[in-house]
Amino acid sequence: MQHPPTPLDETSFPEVLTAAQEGAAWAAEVLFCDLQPRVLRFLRSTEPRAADDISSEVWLAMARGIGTFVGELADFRAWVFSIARRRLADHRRTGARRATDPTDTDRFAELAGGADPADTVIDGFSGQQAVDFITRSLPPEQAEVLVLRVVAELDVNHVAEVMGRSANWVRVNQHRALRRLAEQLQANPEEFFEIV
Amino acid sequence: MDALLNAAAQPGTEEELAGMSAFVQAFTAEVTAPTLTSRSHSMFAGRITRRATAMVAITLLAAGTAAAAGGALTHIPSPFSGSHHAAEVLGIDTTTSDVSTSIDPSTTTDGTDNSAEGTDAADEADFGLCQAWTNGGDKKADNPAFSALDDAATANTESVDEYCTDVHTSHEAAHAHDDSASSSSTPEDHAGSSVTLPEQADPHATLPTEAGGSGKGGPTTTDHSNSGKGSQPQG
Repeated sequence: MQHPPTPLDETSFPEVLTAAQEGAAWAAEVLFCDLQPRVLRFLRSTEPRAADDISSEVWLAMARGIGTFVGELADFRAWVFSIARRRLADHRRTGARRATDPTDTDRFAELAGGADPADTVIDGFSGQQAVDFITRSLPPEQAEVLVLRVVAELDVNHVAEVMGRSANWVRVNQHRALRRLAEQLQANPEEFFEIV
Repeated sequence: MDALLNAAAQPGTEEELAGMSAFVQAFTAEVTAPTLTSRSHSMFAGRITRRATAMVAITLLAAGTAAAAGGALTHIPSPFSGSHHAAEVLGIDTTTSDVSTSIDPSTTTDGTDNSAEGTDAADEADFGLCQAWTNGGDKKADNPAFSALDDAATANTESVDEYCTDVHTSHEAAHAHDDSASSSSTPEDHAGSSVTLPEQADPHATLPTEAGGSGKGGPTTTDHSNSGKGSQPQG
């Protein structure tokens, strides 16, 4: 079962998928390394306290369904995020209260200085902080579009599939999201650091 | 802006990748399990701290779960329809990217109706489970007895609530001719769903593929009759 580490990309995906479908541990590791951070960031940006639990459910569903999956890497990621999105919706439907994990503002006090305050602070962001920043700076649907595009690396068409929208709707919201983020970052970045 | 987006897409941290060995072990065990009914939640559930088992419900639904696991999944269509090559580069272009190809979710309809594949027993099992789900309490989502239902819903790209709405509707329609007094039909209502694919109307019908279902690459599925690649399994 030993296999050299394989970065997950369009080229390696068929081999990884086949091995994962046969239960190869190395392939599961490759999938985990590629997908788990993305899924966690997506989930934690809206349900930080339940994200780990939901991600476990996502992996369980993946394990059950991967045997019959057919498609390319982009399809696979879209499928995974479709599962994550449904699990998130189910979680909310069960009545769990939406939780927020405010970031310690002292973290940003350490990041002062630099030519561009926004870039200086953002350069210090972890992946999760950046996603949280996006999520809390934008309307939910715009944020979701951007997170799925950037974090999940889904193309417009797959985002449209995952969200049940048209591709044009996704493009419009992506455009609005980027414009809104840019405006807000330029206006007064410190204002946004406080809400991260 | 670029710094923000790059930060969001940066590689996973150690914290995010924590527990990989446990996940991999559970994943491979689940994948290699011979049948769904023999698969165990235990390894994954060990990481799911909010699990609370309703033993009464398990007892009542055990038979139904087994039947649904054995039967329901055989008639679950493959709803995933994406087959678009990722021609677009990930990099977000802040200028408007005029991609000429737009997706209309209702453009193609090469799915097949698998409704005939379902057995009455499986349908009844689904219906029974859905009845229990509908009448269940807040903890129903945590109940392993509903795992088959959850799988079936996932395979349909639906939440369990949505799936059960469809099951109820189908069940009522199937039994309408047997009961002349009950002429009511429940219209499907997916308006409240944020995840249902738009063209999905019949839980026993394969979702049509979207544009571009070339069917290239990868093994083919046999159960779901979805000719487009990107066939979504019973996830």
